[in-house]
Amino acid sequence: MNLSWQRRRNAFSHAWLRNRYIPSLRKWLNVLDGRVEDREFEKMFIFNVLPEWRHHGDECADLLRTFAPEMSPRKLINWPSDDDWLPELIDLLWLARCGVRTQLKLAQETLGLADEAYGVILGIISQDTIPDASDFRSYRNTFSSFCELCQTLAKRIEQLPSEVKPI
Amino acid sequence: MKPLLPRILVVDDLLGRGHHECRNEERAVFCGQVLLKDVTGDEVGRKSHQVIKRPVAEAVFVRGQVPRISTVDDVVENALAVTLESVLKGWGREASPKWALILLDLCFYTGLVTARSNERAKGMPEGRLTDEDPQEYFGLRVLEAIHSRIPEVPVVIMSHRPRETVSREYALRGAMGFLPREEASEEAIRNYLFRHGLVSDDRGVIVGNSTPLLLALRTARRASIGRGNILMRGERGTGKELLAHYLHHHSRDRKNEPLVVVNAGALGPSLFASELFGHKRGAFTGADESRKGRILEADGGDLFLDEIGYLPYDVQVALQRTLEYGEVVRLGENHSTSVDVRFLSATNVDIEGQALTEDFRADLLDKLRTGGTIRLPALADRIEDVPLLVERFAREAEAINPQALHRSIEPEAIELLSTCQWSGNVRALRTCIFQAVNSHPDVEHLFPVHLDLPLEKERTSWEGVRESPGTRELNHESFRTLDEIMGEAARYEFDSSKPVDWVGRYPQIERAYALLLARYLSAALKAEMRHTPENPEGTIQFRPSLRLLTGDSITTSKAQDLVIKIRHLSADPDVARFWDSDPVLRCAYEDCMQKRR
Repeated sequence: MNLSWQRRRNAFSHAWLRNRYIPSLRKWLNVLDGRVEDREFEKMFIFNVLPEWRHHGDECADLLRTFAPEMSPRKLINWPSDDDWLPELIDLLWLARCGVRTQLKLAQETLGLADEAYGVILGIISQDTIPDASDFRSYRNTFSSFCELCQTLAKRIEQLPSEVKPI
Repeated sequence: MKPLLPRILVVDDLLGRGHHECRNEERAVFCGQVLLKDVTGDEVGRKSHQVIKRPVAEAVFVRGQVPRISTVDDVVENALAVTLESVLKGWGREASPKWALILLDLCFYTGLVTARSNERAKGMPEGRLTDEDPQEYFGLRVLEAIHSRIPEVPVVIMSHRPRETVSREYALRGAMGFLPREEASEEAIRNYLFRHGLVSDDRGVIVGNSTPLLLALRTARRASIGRGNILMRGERGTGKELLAHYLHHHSRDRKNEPLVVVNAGALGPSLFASELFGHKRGAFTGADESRKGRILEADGGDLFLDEIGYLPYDVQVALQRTLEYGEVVRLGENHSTSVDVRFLSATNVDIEGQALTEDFRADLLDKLRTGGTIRLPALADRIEDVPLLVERFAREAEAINPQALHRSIEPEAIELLSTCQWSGNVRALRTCIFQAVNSHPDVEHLFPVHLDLPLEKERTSWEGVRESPGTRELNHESFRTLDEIMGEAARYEFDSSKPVDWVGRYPQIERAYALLLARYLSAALKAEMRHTPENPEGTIQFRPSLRLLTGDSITTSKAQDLVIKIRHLSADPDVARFWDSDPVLRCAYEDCMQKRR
């Protein structure tokens, strides 16, 4: 098993996306709805938490890009070099038969959509003023869409195989 | 009386850890995410400024590990015993409220807290490989321990581990469900509290926080959202009608429709059919106008049918058809009318026994409980609710008279009320409190002396009873026999500095003595009754019965004199009622009086 990819997935999906980012987004939505008052959190969310997407979004893209090379069952085989065609075949079979190609595609699409949604949010936030939650209430749906996309992304990432297995 | 918010215990390594200098940010975010009010009380130095406007519940967070507060170079380890202690602390009799729900993480990270891991999340360790092994999840061990000690408390797993990898394990160990961490929301928590939580009545109508009551309310909520008919079982005075209102209130599609109440026990046999099904004008003598009938009045909603054990057989037949086909035929009509009614029925008799003896139709009984059966606990099974009930009833009694003094029911009175048998259950307790409040309009503090307790067998153990303040302590735990109780009563000293504790006690002492002797005599008479084939019910034997009572030889004539003497020991009406209610005593007294004449 390639612990490196698993660890990176855990660090992104478990430690950051599910444990920190999505809960913060959900709390932010409750702040926008007036159900929670937390001035300290408002500033921290806009200036510290929300922008984390920039770095972690890239991390996610890298995770998805390296998934196939690092998690393919071709790694289980140690064939002589003149049988180069075999690892390639295993890769193709794995991608096609185990539904991995579809799962990967869905995860990448979701990441793309989340990136777009984040771009919209960036346009809303002004760095020149100290924002107040009331400034963003009218954009609640935009934040909500972004939050849902993050949740979908978390699910898609979780659905990717968790170990290198023979097909 | 505003009902308490439900209280949830969250066992989670990330959310449960404490800090010295700052708030647990992840916990604050979680509380803001699901609208929980953090009442852990572990914030040192710096308080959170988060305000949750309308929390769905209170929450206490525990780490499940030691140390609770950790920093760089500390080693964090899982602590099952400490965790279980926290769980049990919130479940004892003193806990108010008790845990309505436990949210339990699965994977707890252990090991060394490094600078790197501390930077990611303060006080969190790096974690060990075994922490993430599903076979080694600490959360599953905690779940097993909780379930073995307190199987009633509902536990929901809250984790970002894939559900399908742990579903079998947590179900096997008794968890109620699984909540993906990132999907935790106010709505999700509300749903879990509704379906599985041990929560009291948020309307404040059904009063109580005891486990048996909360279990009954949970069963009711689960049944309420269905379409099936529901049967309620419970002794008289346990609040079956209140529960019917609770069921109706929590129904998804019927709460805005009628709830019609019918007490089968209060109707005469000839009125049943007409009352339930309605009648056409002229259908029978006296039917001067048409009547819809209670079932049709409840169309679209619920009909609460109390004391179904009293339903006449012909009405059972018609009712069974209504339940089977969803139709009602009014008396005097030739056609049926469709109706959509959910039946909430109640009984305090052994209805299954009646079905076996065919006094009650078995097929009707089955139809009446398609949505389940709910058992309401007797007051004796939820005695810890007595203080809350007493408080509620005192306020209700005062509300009748706006000029009434505010009454304080003193702890001694509450202790005494908690020792009674209450065969009339909550209704009898209510009557007692109303009487106490109304009979003493000019007294703010109500003590045992102000209570007129129901005529019932009181417990022979004085468990829970304490004497008035200022007098010698009674060690109730030492009482095991009647002789011990009587010996202690003989030595009991009243405090002469506190007249309120002994003024007016003589009539009560006389009454207690008269009742004790009456019961003693009753037992002796029954023990010595002679049963013959000619007289299977038995014949009273005065001489041997009174010899048993006194321990001495006695003539029949003197024995009969003694029976009359015991009868007239006290003029208290309760004593007379007791003699009248016991067939053997009544018969013995009448025999003696006849022979004397």
